[in-house]
Amino acid sequence: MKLEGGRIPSSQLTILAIGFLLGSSIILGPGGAAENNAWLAVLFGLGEGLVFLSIYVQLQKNYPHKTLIEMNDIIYGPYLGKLFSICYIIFFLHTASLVVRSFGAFFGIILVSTPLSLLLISILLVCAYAVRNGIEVIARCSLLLVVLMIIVTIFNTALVAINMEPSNLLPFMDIPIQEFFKASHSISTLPFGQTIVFLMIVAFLNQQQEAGPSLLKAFLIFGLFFLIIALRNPMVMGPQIYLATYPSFAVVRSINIADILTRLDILIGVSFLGAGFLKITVLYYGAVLGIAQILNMRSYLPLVLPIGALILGVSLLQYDAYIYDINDALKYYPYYSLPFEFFLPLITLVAAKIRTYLQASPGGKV
Amino acid sequence: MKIAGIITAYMAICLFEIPGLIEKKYWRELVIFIAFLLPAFVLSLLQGAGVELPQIVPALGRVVEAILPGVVK
Repeated sequence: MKLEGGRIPSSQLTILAIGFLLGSSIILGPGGAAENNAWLAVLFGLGEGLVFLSIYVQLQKNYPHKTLIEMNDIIYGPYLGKLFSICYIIFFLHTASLVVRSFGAFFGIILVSTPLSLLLISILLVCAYAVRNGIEVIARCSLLLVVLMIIVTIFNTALVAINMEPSNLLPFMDIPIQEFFKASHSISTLPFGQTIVFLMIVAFLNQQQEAGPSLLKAFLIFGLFFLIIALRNPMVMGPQIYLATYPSFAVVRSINIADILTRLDILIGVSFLGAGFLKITVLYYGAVLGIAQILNMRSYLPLVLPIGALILGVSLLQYDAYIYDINDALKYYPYYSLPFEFFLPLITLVAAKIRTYLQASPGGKV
Repeated sequence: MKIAGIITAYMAICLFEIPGLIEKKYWRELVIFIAFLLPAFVLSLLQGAGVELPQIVPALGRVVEAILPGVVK
């Protein structure tokens, strides 16, 4: 029985992927550890991200119209396949709850008197509504939100252009090379590697052969966008940018055009509202659909609210209420996410290739 | 007060989902719904009651430090 009847065109997949990639990275700022070389770390991170993407696209090409869960079942069989699928679902749920939490932490500095749990419940309710409506609605929402985010970022960048000091990008590569590669690796896992969740979505693409080019387009457009932010932030703020938890927020806060255009930081809040919604919704949808497929359910709708409640509970458990712990989460994420974003998909791809080879060989029957 | 709010919210979720599932005779889905809602409810109750629960990110950090000592600073 089909759990999701919706179909999306490739253009919407590209836009949705851009929105997803913008997600939390729109406020966290790229490659902080690389300091003024963050722009180069973005390029290296994009390169590593493209390696991840090539694995996902190869998998999708081998099994068109199949979600990650169905692929695992075909490649590994029903038992081992389900074990792999459960690993991915735990990863989706964990990542979703981390994004929800960073969302709450960020809005906690704007809405200081609002309880954290209330902020988290309000965003999760909106996401739950979108997930219940299916992939078509999520993809259509992304059209409006991504255009809004791009306009806001271009507007903000244009307003701070006058304060940009290119010499802030110097000296070039004065940090230890390990630190640089840690920063670029961090960018490749967050957000590029997280697109593994799109293997739950590309199955619903109208033209399956368009999945690879659409996601590649999204990676390149987002990469360009991220590069602009990585160049803009240190050029405007100088070395003090590395002290900010939310660098883009700090940059936009500094805008002051003739005492008229000031306190535009809320624009970053609005962008993050859209980007965070898209990211949480995609991860939430991936987890809900995945669980429904593993348990062979007739509809995924009954799972939406219980999984939302679980994401809420787990997001409150991620770390203490101190904002500095976001840095801890960002420090460890590039390492523990790697098995889910790279090693498991790579093993799955190798297993799929071996399986195809054995099936194609004369007398082969797998 | 918090506990009452949590119980009300979970009752609302049940009232929203269960009648439709019973009407369609989706018994299997009903069992799965309860199986996922129950741990979420217990977790929310514990958090609402202020019980100290282990944090996830520090625990994952310890695992990463143990597997890759000295890599993360």
